[in-house]
Amino acid sequence: MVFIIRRIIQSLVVVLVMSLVVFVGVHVVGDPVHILISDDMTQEEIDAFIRRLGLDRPVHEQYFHFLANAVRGDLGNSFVYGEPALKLILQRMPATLELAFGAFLLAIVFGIPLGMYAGLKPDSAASRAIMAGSILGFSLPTFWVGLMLIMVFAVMLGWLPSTGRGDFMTWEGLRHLALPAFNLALFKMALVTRLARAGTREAALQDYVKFARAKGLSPSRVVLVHVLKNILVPVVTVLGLELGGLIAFSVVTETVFAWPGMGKLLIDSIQRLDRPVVVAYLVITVLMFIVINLIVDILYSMLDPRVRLKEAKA
Amino acid sequence: MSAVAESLPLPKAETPSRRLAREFFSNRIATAAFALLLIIIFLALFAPLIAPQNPYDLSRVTVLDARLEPGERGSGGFVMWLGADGAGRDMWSAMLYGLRISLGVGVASGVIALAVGTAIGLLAAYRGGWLDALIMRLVDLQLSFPAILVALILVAILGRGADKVMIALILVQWAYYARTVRGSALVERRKEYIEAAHCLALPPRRIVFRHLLPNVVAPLIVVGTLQTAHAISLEATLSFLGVGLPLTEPSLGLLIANGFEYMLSGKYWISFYPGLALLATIMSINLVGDRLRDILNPRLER
Amino acid sequence: MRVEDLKTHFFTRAGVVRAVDGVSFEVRPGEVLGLVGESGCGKTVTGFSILGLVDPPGRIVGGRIIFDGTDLLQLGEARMRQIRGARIAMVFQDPMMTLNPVLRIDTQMVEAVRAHQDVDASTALRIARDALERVGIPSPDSRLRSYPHQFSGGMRQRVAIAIALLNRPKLIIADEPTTALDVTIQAQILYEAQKLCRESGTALIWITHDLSVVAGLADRICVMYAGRIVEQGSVDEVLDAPLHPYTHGLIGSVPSRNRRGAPLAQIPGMTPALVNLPPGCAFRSRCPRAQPRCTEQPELQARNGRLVRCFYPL
Repeated sequence: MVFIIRRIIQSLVVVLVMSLVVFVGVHVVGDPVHILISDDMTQEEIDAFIRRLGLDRPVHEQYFHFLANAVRGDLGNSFVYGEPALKLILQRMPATLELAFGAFLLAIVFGIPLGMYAGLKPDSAASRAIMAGSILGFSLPTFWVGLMLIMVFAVMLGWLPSTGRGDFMTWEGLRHLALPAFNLALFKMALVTRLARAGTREAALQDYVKFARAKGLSPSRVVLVHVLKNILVPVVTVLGLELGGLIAFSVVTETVFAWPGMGKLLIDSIQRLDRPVVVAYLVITVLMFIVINLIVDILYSMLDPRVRLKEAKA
Repeated sequence: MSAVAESLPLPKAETPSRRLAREFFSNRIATAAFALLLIIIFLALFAPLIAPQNPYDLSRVTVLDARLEPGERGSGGFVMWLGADGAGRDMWSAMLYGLRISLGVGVASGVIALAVGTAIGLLAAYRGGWLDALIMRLVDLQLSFPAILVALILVAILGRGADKVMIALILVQWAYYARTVRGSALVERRKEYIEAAHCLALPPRRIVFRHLLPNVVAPLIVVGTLQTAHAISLEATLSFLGVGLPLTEPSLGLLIANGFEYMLSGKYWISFYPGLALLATIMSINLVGDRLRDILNPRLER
Repeated sequence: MRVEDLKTHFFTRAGVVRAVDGVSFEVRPGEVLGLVGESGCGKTVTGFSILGLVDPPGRIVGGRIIFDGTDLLQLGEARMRQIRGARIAMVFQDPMMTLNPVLRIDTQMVEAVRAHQDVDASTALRIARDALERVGIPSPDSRLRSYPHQFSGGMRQRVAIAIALLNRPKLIIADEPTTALDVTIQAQILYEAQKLCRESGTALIWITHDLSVVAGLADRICVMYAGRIVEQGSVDEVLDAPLHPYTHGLIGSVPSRNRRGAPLAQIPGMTPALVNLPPGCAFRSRCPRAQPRCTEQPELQARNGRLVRCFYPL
């Protein structure tokens, strides 16, 4: 319990640091006015804007102002839509999360078994094929694969729709989700496979596996209980961090498949110079990251009992 | 007896680089990947000489050729083996030029990031103390975020343009190099030959460059190759999204983006072939880097 | 159990390693057999061979292992699994590595029970608890719910012994079980092992490199060198009047046997690498009594009810 509280406090510190970084990045490094105003304001409007945002005040005052606003959820209004930037981002978040979780599940469901198989029989032809496939998986540029998937499955074969999103958890929704989720998952799947393989190879050589066999346990139990639980720890840690990466990388997949998530909004906003939305996206994503890291740490301690006790003693 | 023994030459000791080469090439896949990489580099370097057409020389390109299918003959008189894109450019030529830029930007940013990262990593390892702690916190913080996110943040802050993209790529990569080098340097630093060099009162700079650095090179090579592949992929992704290199320096990513709109009407070649080139490049670098890692890492642990 | 001419070879890139090269011995119910030799002489591989746990590149290439009337080497994997942990059990050397660190003790014990006995979980738990009590672990109920790293080394090894006893095996193979422990704990465990075997009539093969351990515990002793048995007999006879020069050297180099002030006796040279052994007696290069005839491989000869493999026994 103490462990969890300590991690939460650590995360809050990181959040604060990140807010400082974002603030410095947006307000100080980039020309703050330049970034936050739209390009077609008159000089008067610009001056009024500057005064309203307090950009003519000293930097630390600006920072507190920024924090106060941010905590209240006010990150400015979108130039294009005129609505609060935060609201726009949050509206799109479920779509992105659906995509990211879909990809996450696919990566685990396919990656771990494939990796474990390759690790248990490292010299078999299947194992070598799996490893070759994994290198292919993380060399393939995601956006290009997306295009190819569209071409093959939507244009040539006509099995799956190429763009857009269906309703959550419906058959149509899943049909629309299939290609983008698979596309996004490919890269991570390759990584998970490699990780699972390395972990399984290492675990299989350990004495406790031999001891489990000496007890006369069935091979499936040895693998599924003893080996799996041991590789779960490193795999989960990496996967958890990768979830954040998935959310960030969905930017690409959303663009290719016209999936209405945060990522597509971000790219559109960058191109349309809708800067408040960009800032809102960054803030939300960074926050999500930190929360995910926190959850991963907690999960890690639950899965590996040795960590729990070490922290308790510390 | 002794006279004979003295006149026999000593067997030549195998230098580390020769042994590396021998172990590397003993694997067929790695050798093939390396050969492919050499071909790609060759193509990229000599693109202007090899390509039948300079796709960015507007006088040679005509829109009459637009969207020609692979294998058709264009107005320039030569066969467009890979077809033409929406503006009538020969895909093969466009690909070669694009390869040049993609590879160039990827490698250049990688090399600079390597230099910067190595310098910072060595500094952190050698100086230690609060400087080390500060640098490492920074590295950890940056590395806990995915590269694409960092790149997007940087692009959003810095704006568009080729130089900004380079800066963004460098800033994304330096942390990996810094962390690798620092880790290696810390291990080496504790070893006795550094102490010996210290005792000889060699100046710190000499110790770092002549003694520390060569032993740090091995993991650096591994990280370098894999990171370069990653950088090329990242640049392509940014260009595809429209926030990367500008139109005047079209990398493969941009070419693929251009072909996006023609996908649904079945004109696949405009996106397909540049993508294949990109894939070949990234994959060959990854395979080479993977093999290098297999060879170099166990030795490091010994 | 009777082992006849067991041969286990490892087929490595450097050559064939004849880890076990024609080993024969017998263990009667309730008897303690000490299998003694230096590291690398093949005693651990012998233990694994009996249970069929030799991993590639190793393979049993010849011999018979008669247990309860059947030749174990002819049995399929499924039948061997029934025997492992139930009729023949094994205790490994390092209990930290043989107990799976991420699973609780009760999980690891209950699975060993339920793999061989058709009982429900609570009965299995009770059997586990009783076993822990028998090996002298205090407050077994709370201990069952703990993880391996929460035990001390001696306790962990007791748990391993308890696991070996769970299904009341007829034979226990103990591979250097006390090597990693303090001397005092070692003595306790030795005493308790002896007591348990006497009480339940279980046969015990105790593999060790430490003569002093075997002296107090075993009934009979086999001395191994370079994959072969070089001397065999009752403990008293072998230790008081060794026939083979190697045994003599081993006994002489035990520190307590040496007089204070005199230089410590040792056997000159090093154990030979088992790859591509030269023909003839393997001990030849270190033996003070070696003669030209020793370039031939000596066979086991009987001498007053004992066996020795030497042309010129003491």
